[in-house]
Amino acid sequence: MTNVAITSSAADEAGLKDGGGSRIRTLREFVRRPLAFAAAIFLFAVIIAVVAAPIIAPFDPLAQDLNHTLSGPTALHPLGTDQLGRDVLSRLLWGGRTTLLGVGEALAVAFVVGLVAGLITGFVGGTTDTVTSRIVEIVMAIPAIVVLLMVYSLTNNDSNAGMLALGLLSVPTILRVARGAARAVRSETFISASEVVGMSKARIIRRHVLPNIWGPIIVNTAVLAAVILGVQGGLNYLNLGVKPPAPSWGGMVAEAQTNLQLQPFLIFPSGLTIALTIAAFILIADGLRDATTAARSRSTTPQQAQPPAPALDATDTAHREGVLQVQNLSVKFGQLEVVRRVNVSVAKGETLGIVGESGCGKSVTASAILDSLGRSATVTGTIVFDGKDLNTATRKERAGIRGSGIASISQDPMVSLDPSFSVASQLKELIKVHDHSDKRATHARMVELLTEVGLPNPEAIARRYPHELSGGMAQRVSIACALAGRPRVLIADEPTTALDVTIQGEILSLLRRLRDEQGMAIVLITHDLGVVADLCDRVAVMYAGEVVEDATVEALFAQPAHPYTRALIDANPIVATRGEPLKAIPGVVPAPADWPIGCHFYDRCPIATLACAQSPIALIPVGDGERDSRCIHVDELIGAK
Amino acid sequence: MLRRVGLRVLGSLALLIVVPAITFLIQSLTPSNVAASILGLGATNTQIAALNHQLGLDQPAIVRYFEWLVGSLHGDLGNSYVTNQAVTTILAPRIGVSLSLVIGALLVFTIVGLLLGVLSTNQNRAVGRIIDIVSSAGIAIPNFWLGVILIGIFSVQLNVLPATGYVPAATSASLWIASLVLPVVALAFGGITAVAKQTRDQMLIALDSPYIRSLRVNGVPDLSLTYRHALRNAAGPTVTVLGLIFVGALSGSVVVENIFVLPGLGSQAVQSATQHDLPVIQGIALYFTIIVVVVNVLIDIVIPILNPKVRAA
Amino acid sequence: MKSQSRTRKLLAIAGSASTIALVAVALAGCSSTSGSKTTTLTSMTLAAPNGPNSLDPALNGNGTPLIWYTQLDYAPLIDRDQNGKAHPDLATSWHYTSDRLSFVIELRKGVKFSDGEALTADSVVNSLEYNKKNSTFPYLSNVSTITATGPLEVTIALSTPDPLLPYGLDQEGQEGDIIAPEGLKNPKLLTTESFGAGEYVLDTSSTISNSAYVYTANPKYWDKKSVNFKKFTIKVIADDNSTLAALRSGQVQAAQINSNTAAAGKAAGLTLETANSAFVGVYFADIEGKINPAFANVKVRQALNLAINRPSVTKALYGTTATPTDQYAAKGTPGYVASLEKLYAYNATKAKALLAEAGYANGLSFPLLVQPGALNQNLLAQSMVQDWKAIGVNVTLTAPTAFSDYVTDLESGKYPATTYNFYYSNHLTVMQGQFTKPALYNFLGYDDSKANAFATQERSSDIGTAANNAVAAKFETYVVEQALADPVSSADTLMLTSKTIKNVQFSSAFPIPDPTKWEPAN
Repeated sequence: MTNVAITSSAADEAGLKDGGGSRIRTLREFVRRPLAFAAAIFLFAVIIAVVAAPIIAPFDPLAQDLNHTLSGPTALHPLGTDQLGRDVLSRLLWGGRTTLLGVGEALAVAFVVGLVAGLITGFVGGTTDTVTSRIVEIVMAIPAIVVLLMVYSLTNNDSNAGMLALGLLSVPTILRVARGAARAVRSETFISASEVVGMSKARIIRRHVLPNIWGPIIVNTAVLAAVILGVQGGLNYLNLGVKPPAPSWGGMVAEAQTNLQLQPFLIFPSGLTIALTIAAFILIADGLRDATTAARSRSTTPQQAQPPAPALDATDTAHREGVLQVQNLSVKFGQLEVVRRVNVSVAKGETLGIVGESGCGKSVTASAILDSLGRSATVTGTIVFDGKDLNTATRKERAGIRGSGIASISQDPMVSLDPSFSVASQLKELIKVHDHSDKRATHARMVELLTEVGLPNPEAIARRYPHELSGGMAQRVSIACALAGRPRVLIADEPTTALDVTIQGEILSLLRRLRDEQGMAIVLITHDLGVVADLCDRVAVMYAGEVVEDATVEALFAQPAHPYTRALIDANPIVATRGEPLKAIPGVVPAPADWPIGCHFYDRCPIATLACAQSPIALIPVGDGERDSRCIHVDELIGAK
Repeated sequence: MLRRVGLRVLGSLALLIVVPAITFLIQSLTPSNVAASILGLGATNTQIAALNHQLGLDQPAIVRYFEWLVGSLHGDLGNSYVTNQAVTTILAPRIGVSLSLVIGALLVFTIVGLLLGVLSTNQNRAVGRIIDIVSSAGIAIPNFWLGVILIGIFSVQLNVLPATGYVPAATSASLWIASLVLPVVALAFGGITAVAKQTRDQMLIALDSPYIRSLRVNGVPDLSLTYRHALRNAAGPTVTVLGLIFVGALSGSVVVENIFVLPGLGSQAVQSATQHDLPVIQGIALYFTIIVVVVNVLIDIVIPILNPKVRAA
Repeated sequence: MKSQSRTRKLLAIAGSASTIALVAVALAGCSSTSGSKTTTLTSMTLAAPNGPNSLDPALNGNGTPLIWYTQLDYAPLIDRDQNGKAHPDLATSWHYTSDRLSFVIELRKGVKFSDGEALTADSVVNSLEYNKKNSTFPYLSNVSTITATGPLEVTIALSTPDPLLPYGLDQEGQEGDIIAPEGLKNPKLLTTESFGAGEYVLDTSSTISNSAYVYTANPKYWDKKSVNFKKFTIKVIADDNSTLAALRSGQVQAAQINSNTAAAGKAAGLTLETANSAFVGVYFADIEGKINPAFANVKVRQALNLAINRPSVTKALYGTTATPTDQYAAKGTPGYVASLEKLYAYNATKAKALLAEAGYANGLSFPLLVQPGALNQNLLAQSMVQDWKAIGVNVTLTAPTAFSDYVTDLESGKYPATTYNFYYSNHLTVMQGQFTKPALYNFLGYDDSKANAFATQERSSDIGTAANNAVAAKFETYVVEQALADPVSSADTLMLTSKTIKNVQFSSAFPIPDPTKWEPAN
């Protein structure tokens, strides 16, 4: 018997929380997968074949031909004959009826009992839930075979009793999924709302729980079917649950074994049928699970190919020197461009801020620099660091600068540290990667780094695990990890967003100190203008995949050279006038699929003209030349007060 | 952690009481004619009744259950109805065989499963996919079919490995291993798939995590990311599942022992079920449950080692 | 990536290392199991398809392999050789008194049980009493008293003449297996230890129930030189493929196998010993027609016999290891009547006609119980059902897996017929096991006065005499013509042995391979 654990995978759980995708989308995704689809077709064919056995089977399964026993495949008997000359193909077809019927029985019992019990206990909770959980634990620990042996021997081989028992023993699998779904939904606020409105529990279950649940339930049912078929096959092989002369797949394997010396071929039709059917169930389950996940993720509707930016655009004449110089950086996912021709640079000891709303491409830009975008992205342009273009460098060269040339810290420190290793373990590993130092030197360096990021009691903190740290401490540790390689550029992606305001200030001071004391260049990515004002020397503002303005902090705040920057500053609640409505920017950021040909800000810009929409706008130096802007009306802005 | 383990052991005691109760209950639902089985065709009704009385079978099931329970606390599991030997005597030499088989299978499917699971997350999508499909094959091939094929190939055709029989480790270590190779392979096959799939799933989740990204970006080499960080994080949830897979393997061992003629608990179970030899089946159910409990406790000890969040308190 | 390819290399090395290790272990295992051919065998292993019903000789069954487990350590009063000829064992001589109501046995002097106790008339009396009370065999059923009539003489008094005692007291009848007084004091111990006076003693510490039974030579046996091995092991191997592999690798020197394995065994260079040992077929219990009146009609029963294509069925089920038969004695043994073989030659048309004559032109139906266990009775039942279907008789099968369930079903009174097998033995035993009232298989208790009369007549003379043989033939003719049952095949017991042992032969006259007689080949 096959032994497989049915586990509710993270994908299942995610599905339960999200409200799993439309059925049609899932089906479409399923059909797209050749293996799973083929398996479904196969299973369907098998079921049809055994149902139609009375019609399509060439012989009566009991019809003996004592003159042609144990023949191999012949024209008359394509799968050979058994010891009594009975046609193997016909016996497989007829045997499939009893076999699959038995599987269906067990499956139905497990499904119904598991679904109902799971929904009820998950939804009702409390003592019912606790008691049921204990019972489920006990049932899962029982070696099923012992119970089944007893049931069969005591009911004189009654296959219905056996399948009932098997179904009951399989209830936990389905019950856990149903319970999980019910619990997940139960904690949603809209359930309380529904209850307040007066919806009965049954209706709530039907309308809100069931639609979410069908995906994982069907997947688990398919896997369960595979397991049950395997178990039943084993039992039939041991001559349990079969009443001769009725054929069964497992029984036919046993018959083949007794004739192994005389006709070894017989072992294959029966065994392969079972194996392929089990495989079909598994492949279908896998395919369904993948399809549900795919359907749920943001659908990448195929884009019309965007018109290539006309050569005119090459007049992005913005160009700055620095330890890190990014020029004409574009990132495409498939056909879809999400970052277009970004030019930024940061000098030694300088802090560059990259500002923009969510979805403007700032994080993607950072990831492109760090080479952590994965295969689905196409990165064009140059990323020059230390005189070398990283985008065309070899993998070895790129790996070489990770951590020692360019390092990174990210938004949520609690998930940026490996939860299974202590701070010391992770930090020391990083130190050794870069320094190749011995034990003592590594330890000393670790203490040094932890002190440097302002942690008191570095030894004590080093012994802790990430989940034992507070948010601020964790972010400091992350910074220590980033510093291990003595990087010259630190890319900090929203480093304070997840932290308390008080801690924010401390982290920013730390970054400032590192910049001042060590001359480290920092690229700070944020959506918070206050942070920019606090820490940055230069700022690049991004909108809808492009850099729209690049200036020193003072110049930017004093006189924004792009309507978008202007609007951002105005919209900041800090500068708002009491009593007047907040100045939000009307409209929404266009998604990459919907970028217009001309200025991306066109729809929302207060000073836009038709000329703005007609052709791509170039990023050019403006004003005193130390700043850049992508606006043809820049004169109005810098001129205006 | 001690408290956790203690709780688990206590919970398992419930198991040790419930499982035998279930078997007694099932048996009480159908009257059986054990005495006739022992005495055979020519027995007179008087002889049958006398034997039934001697075996205590004329008492109600509840009474017999409690007697059994009390006896089990003293290490007395009753006597076989068929051979009248003490159940403990019959089963004692068989425990080692079954343990060799299932622990061997546990080791094989854990190690090979973990390995295949990790390898299937290979960068090269083709390689990963192939390994994924190969590990899927494990679950599809029923262990009894695999066993027969293995016998056919190795023992009948090639005459390389012994088809039957078990040589205790005490007699000869090499023969012991030789007698276990085919059965362990047949038994572990399905478990390898389950572990590989779980490992793969967890590895993919881990490899997708922010901390892997952070470590990579800051210079940790890919090899360490996969085999040290991702695997370590994936191992916890995988080990959690091992207990369940092991219970399945225990069930599978019954069939495998029959195929390979190993004198373990499983082959005795089938025989005793056929003979309605209830005390022996009870004993086997008890031993199986104990094995499950022990393995679960061991897993409970291992998980906190792998997953620091679960430790302490 | 470089590190990835390094990993792959490491894994490849690990993989090949473990493969090499595995192969080395396998080869080591392989080489140490192949036995050496040049030295004389001092211990041997016999493979049996199942374990004993009990180690208590009164409770064990008959036929192989059951009998082997008690044959090795318990000595009978009378020993039969491979041709069925009786020889002294624990008894040196025996005779019936002229009124045939007493049977006097002289015991051998100086015999000791394996625990050192001396064999006396008293101990034999006690043992016989125990067997009579507890054994399910019928051989002592006509015994009224058993007395010690001398220090080494026992007299068995019979309530009615019964010529079967020399058979009941041989190693096949088992009722003459003498159990030591220590064993009789505490019969429970008989199920786990030996208390006999046989060639071997059970080694309880090495024995694993239902797996391996180890016997060591009994130093106190009265005929030490006839003990051929220092150690004798019976290994339980349920599957023939495994048995064959064990024989080929030398783990086992002898085994009982099924017909499917015979050819492969011979091809592997092993010796095949066979003899017709039992017949298999369907027993009609409902001769009085209580469940189905059709069975009371002799024409119906004859039709059921005629409808079976015995040669086809026999060949399909047993290949060349069985002969078709429609009677109850093996060829060449008393009771066998050659002309009877043609009586039920396959003739479906005639069968249908007979059915019509009996008033069953539209056919009939009945449930058939299938006996679990030996000789493929399941397959037999299925092929007979097929043959009967062709003449309009519809038979449904019930095939319990557990013997106890089979017995329950038999006694339920729902089944007019059952498949069965029956070991050849002396003719009277075979008849009295089926057609008399009472009889082992006569579970519905029918009373056929002619059969009973024949039995009484056959009991009135010594077995093996011309007079007795003549009665046997007449009895046989009667039961076959009356179609009281439907035998189909006379099947061989098949023993495969390696060339390192000899003297394994047996015959239809005494179809029990006796392991105490086997010896090393050189």
